[in-house]
Amino acid sequence: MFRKLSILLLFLMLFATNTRAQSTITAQAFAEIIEALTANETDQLNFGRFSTDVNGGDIVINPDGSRTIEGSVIGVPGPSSPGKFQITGAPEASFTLQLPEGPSVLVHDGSSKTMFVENWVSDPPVENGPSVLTNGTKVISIGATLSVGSYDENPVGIYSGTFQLTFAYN
Amino acid sequence: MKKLAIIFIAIFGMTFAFTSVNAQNAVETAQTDATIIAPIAITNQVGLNFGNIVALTGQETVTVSPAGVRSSSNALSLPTTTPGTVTAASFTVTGLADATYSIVLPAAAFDVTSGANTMSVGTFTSTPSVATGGTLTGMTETLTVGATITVGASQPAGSYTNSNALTVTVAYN
Repeated sequence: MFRKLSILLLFLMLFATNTRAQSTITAQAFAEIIEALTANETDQLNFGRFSTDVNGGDIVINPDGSRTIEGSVIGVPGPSSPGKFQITGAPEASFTLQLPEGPSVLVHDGSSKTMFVENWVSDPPVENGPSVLTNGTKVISIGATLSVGSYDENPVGIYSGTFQLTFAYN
Repeated sequence: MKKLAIIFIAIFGMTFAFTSVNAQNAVETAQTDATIIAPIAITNQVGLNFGNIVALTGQETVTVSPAGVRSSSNALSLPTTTPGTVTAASFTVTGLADATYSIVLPAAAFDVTSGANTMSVGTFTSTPSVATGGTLTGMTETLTVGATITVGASQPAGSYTNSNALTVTVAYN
């Protein structure tokens, strides 16, 4: 009788240690994937039409679209515009804009004559810090200054070039 | 032989403690003689959270360390001002004071899902580590678990979860 009891108790003890000498739990794993930023150029940066003169000058396109001319350059009516970029990404995420660090070179269609574009500015201004993708989108406007040389340096024609903007989640 | 007798008394105590209090006398007698070890228990305090990850055109891996620090194979994938919630999974282990215990983390990677889209979570690490095991100093210890998530090329945006795959087991040594 004693022997039987012992066996029964031993069995119970094994059962008890198995359930109580270890413990298991499960936790949740979570990650949020947010869309990569994309930028579309909706308007090209365009300094418009103008005539050069003997001394050259500057044409400034502001981010708000206004154009100012300095020096002996004469503005001619016609379309001009700041560069406009539509940025899309994760709603309410913030991002930074990096303007070109140096000048962009515009090259004349029919010759190797060049003009320089620099003094890049943006709306919202870079110095204001990161921008927010309200509802996942934001339009950035880019202005700059075009330096025009004399008639000899910059003959009539179309000048074109590229510039690079960098957008990144902040 | 004396040892054996003591073991049986211990058995007696545990058995009755678990089943019922009907045999009141037996329980009381046994408790004076036997050491009933506090059971080991683990509770989950915080889930494993990789935070906000930017889907890039190439595949990337994002790792959360047991200390809750995030790193990526491509730094562009980790936004700094909107990182979201980043946490290592955190557990509280309780039991017998100063007892050591072993840790079992998931043996294989598992998926987190968002609709039909999935990502794989694997390479689990913990503090204390599986290699050293834990010690219940003061009857309790915090166990944290990190892992690595593999984000596919142009992984679709969404909230990816798995609520019942990060299983952690602790056992007395």
